[in-house]
Amino acid sequence: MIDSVLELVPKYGLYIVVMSTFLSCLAVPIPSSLIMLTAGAFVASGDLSGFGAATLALVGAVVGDQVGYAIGRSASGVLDRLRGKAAVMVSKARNLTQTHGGIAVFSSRWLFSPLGPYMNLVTGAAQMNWFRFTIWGVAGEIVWVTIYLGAGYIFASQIEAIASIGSNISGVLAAGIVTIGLGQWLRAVVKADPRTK
Amino acid sequence: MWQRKMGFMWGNQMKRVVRTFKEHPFLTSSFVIAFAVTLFFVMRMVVFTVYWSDPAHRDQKVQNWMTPGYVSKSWDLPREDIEALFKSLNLPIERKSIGRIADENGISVDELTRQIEAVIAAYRANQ
Repeated sequence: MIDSVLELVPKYGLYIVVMSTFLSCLAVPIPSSLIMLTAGAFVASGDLSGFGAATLALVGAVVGDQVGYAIGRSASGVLDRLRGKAAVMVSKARNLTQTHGGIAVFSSRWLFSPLGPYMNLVTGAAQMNWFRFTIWGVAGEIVWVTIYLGAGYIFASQIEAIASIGSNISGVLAAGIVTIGLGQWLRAVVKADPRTK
Repeated sequence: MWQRKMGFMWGNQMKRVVRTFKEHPFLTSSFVIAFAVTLFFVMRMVVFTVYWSDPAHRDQKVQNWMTPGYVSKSWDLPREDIEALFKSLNLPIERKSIGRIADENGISVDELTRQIEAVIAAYRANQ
């Protein structure tokens, strides 16, 4: 699988960089981290322009985030119509994005990047302030592009090793943070139960 | 005596777990699944790290997807050496993979790979 992706990068060059970062922000399952690492390696070997790769990767990612946010936002009207317990949850979620949305958007761009596409939808649906979403989002994407292109550049001759270890690290981080979040939710639920001593 | 007490406490814990699951089936199973997925990635990470820390696995071979530039970068081979080889085979030096260069110029990829590996070997022998 890795080999066929590696073939695509010299063939389509910067097009594949911009398309993969764009689509991966919309939860299309594309190995964009691997493509970014490979692009970094080809920048190191003189086959791709570094400035071009960084700029197009950033443009693809930022536009993808905006589309995801807009889709979420367009669904937020449905949430407004909810009543009762569901409405309470929606208002709680909206408060949460107002207080912690920035850091959540920022860290889901690079540290917990597999969660990024869903965060776009959620923050859009929760009507997070667009300006804040964009500022934190762009900052996070800059970090992501720098890390992946940089790692590909530095470890150009070890691209397969870096790609396979790297994808597992992001899997551990993303699944780990979801587990911790659910665990805390579960704890709160059990604690709120009057039968629990 | 203490065994009985431990058994009693353990029973209580189990009851609590079962009750939590019954009352919040979606939340509890999501937590269990997320935890399992985390463990899965931790295991994979360990396996891959062990695999790649073996130097034998790290010595990559010349492959179809590599470009002439990538080969010279990865094996610390002077660009002129690979350019000389391509010139002798009447191949253009392009920003394309060697698989594609071979296809477009009617030479077999295996043959080109062998030739490149010979150049690398010759260069290393001279070092």
